[in-house]
Amino acid sequence: MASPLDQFKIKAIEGLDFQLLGYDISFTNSALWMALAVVVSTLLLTVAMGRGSLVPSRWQNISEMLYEFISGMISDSVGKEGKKYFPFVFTVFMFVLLGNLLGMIPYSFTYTSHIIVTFSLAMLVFIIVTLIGLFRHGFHFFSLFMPSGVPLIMAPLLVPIEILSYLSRPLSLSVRLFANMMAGHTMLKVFAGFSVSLGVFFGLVPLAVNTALIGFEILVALLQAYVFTILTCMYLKDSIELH
Amino acid sequence: MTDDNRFDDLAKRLKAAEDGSSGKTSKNSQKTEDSPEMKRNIGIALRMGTEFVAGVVVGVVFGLLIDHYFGTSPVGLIVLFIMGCCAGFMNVYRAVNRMGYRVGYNHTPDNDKQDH
Repeated sequence: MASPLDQFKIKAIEGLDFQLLGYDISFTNSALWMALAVVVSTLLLTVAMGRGSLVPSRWQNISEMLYEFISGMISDSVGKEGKKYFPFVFTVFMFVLLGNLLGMIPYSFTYTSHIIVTFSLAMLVFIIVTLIGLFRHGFHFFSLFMPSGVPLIMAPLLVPIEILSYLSRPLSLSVRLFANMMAGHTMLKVFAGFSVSLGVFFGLVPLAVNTALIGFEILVALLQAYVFTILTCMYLKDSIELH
Repeated sequence: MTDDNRFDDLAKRLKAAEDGSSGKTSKNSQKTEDSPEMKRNIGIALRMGTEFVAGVVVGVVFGLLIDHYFGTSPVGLIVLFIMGCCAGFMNVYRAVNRMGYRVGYNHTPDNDKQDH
């Protein structure tokens, strides 16, 4: 029987395995689903919104809801200044959300279940947020690491701890998303394996569990996209308004 | 079917939908008050573990790097491991206090209000 971890294997799509200067640059199943996520979100936000009718169709309703959700999140947690960075936050949200949700389709591939993908996303957020802070505040940005009201004598101890705490952000951001997605998908496969090995009658019990788990996984998929985005907003807020 | 008919039909359906939903609105509005709070709490619960571990891991990695490049083994690892633990605790502390995960903690009534 296939291992529950087989679903995370990265394979080159048949006929699309390329080599460039000794590097493997094949178009893989991971890349395929990332491309699909981009296509789906583009279609959802352009074709569905195309007519922009006053009485929205279902699809238009979905895209309006997504827009309002993120726009509300930004104005709640970042403030007015954050509106400028809406495209960035929205792109991150859609990419993570579609990665999680497309991964729930049977036989698909969940690219957010790979640490390197989520870590790259988290590093992207981390670097952009740091650069925004540096451009807005210049050298003053580093006052982030020295909380106000702390006696100067504590600085040698506190500043390194604060820097470590700051640097741990991309790690916790990426590990959270990756661990949730990978654990969930592995669990689904393990229970499906029980169903197969227990036969037609007793196999129904793990099947029932699996049905409940699928619902739970969809909740996790939505929730993790939300958490990733709200933390991006929080970090953005820190950079925009230093305390 | 003429256009008038269609609009009548639409008006009827709209009215039916409004009647149907008006009973629910009170329930719905209550629900929407609960659910973001609930979502936020689940989110915070899921965050705690990784917040702490991330601090420790970053501390250990930097400790090993410092040891590797400056040949201070094992002092760098020990010191940065402890500092990483502190950073991890600080992450958790901030997350619990809903202080927006900010590096640097600064209680002002204004800040505390904005964080929720």
